[in-house]
Amino acid sequence: MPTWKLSGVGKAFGRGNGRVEALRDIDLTVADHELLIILGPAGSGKSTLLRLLAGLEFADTGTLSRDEEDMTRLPPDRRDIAMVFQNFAVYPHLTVKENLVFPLRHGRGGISSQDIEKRVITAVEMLGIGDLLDRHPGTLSGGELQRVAIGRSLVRRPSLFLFDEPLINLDAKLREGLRSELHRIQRETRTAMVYATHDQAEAMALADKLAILDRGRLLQIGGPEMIYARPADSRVARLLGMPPINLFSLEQAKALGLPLGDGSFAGLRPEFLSVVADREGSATLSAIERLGHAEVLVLEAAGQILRAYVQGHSGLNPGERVKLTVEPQNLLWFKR
Amino acid sequence: MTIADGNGFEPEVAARLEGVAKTFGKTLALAPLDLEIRRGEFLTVLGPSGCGKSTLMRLLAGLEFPDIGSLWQGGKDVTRLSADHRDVALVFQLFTLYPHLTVLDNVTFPLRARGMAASEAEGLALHWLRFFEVDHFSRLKPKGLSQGDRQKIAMARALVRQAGLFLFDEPFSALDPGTRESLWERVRMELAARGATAILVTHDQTEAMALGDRLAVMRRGQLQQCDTPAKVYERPANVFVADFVGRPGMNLLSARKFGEWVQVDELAMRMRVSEGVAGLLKQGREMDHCLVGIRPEWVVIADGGVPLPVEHVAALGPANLLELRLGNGLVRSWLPSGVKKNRGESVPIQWMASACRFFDGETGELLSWKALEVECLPGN
Repeated sequence: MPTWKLSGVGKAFGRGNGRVEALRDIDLTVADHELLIILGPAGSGKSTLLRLLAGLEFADTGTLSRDEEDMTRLPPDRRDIAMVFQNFAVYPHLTVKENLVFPLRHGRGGISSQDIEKRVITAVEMLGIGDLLDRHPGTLSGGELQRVAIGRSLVRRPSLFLFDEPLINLDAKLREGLRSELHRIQRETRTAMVYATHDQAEAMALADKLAILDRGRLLQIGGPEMIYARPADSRVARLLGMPPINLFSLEQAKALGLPLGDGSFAGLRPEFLSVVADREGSATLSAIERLGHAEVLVLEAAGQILRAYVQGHSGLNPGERVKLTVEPQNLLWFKR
Repeated sequence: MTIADGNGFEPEVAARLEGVAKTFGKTLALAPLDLEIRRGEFLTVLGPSGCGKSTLMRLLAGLEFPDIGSLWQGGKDVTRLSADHRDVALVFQLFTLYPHLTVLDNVTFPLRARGMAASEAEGLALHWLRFFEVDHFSRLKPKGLSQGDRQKIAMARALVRQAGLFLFDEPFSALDPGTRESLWERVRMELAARGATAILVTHDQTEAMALGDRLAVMRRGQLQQCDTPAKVYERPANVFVADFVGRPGMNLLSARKFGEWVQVDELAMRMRVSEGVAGLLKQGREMDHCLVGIRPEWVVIADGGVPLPVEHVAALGPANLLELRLGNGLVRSWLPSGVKKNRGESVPIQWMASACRFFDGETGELLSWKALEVECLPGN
């Protein structure tokens, strides 16, 4: 299985005043059977990046290669890549089985009927859609449809899968289920996957490797735990983590009496802010969000809102005065 | 005394549904529903798409009328009253602003329509536009603004009013979760300070748990449970609620009952249970198949426990979720911070008897059973 590489890739749309830079100076490697998650807010360039990989758009600058072979200008049907979109691309007039067979019958490189049958059976088993084969898409639920759409790319046995927010139109619970299925499929097929999402929880849960994209630029690449613990800058820190990180300007950090460090912004993950009831305390507990297995404490101190994350039950009540403690080594300092 | 007696203004009740049902063609959107919305409460309604939660909101708003049953608000029967005659303010996901009016005029509109002087209305509107940090758009028309900004403006337009009931149907769907969370915190405090009553429909269970004074869970047009989030989380009424509420959901293990013992074959362990008085009275039958439910936080790694292989460790930020393979399914547990586990590694798990819930194997309903002790079967 090959390694894919983007070097110095840039892409802009439109001209003159309407020119929008979608991607700038992207260096990225997708290694053999790797699951790479691209996390970025709406408009960050995720879809453009996937479309460049798929060959649906061509880069203005930079190169795209597979192993040592240059593919910057290679048309999509010669790239051996399958893409799954957020709106389930299935043919409404064909049955589920016909939908699965279609890309094989009409794709490149004649595949024998026997082989087609075998691939369809494997995909159907992997996705658990055996009962749906004779049904038409119009009668399927969103989750079932998305499985069929994923099945259509599975049967092609590509060397790279691209997923563009494939679960965005599904319910949270359904998403969770399909997410762990995707993980299993990725392991079983041992094929590289690039998966774009704006949902940080989804990104964290799925990722072996995470790439943070914002406004067309790659901000950081690495394991999810590493990026969570050591974000490159305050933008990355804010994009990752729920409840969100507490961020302070230098003045705010001073007002709170935090130990100062090297940088102009301080970040503190909510799980590192410790809170104890103290009538003399300088902070007020304004609200508690109960998550069941944990609580998010919303606090007010020195005119600022802070969040603390406590596993289990804090035993505190809204309105109480509290004392906040921070270990200096848990403060993250950012230049920007 | 019921409201139907006539002189029934109940100060503690903001709205009440009595046997309200709705069908669209052959589809049952809402099965007969009884629900009381208490004055001053923030009620969240949670369920997958198609569960009837939006129909419920449209009925409360007066945008649809029920086939049967009656609807009361502020002690008055409003069943047949249209939207503009009800004391409700609503923001729906796709609720549009007037395209020909400026942002400011959009927000002042409901106030001026009720006869408020222009200057006073503008002051109020600007306050709310500032609250949502969209006041710099006040002279613009909504066209061209992002979906998220338009949703904030729609929210400002609802909050300028002193309505008896606020109805929100995923009003911040276009915003990212972080922004959404902090906006809700502030809106929630604002509503609480005013003593306002509000209902929020969402499919995001974290939001539903975190924000609701009470949480109503719906599925296929039927109310499954309505109680405080803590109660719903700790004592889910059935397996659907157990799985749907909580992130991740409750672990549900298939088990058999022999006398006073419930045995989980896949784990080669069993628990002695007491059925409780209610259980004995209600059941009157021997149950062979049931489900054992345990929240991930009660599944702990401990020596001498049942060994299960690690399938995946999900780094979720503040805590890591451990997924263990059990037959065709998964058992989930929270990994203590600082502990590392790798895929394939074997991990011994245990749990406390008191953390277990039991569900009827056929109906999925919560049983009143209590586990008294847990024991591993020999040969394990």
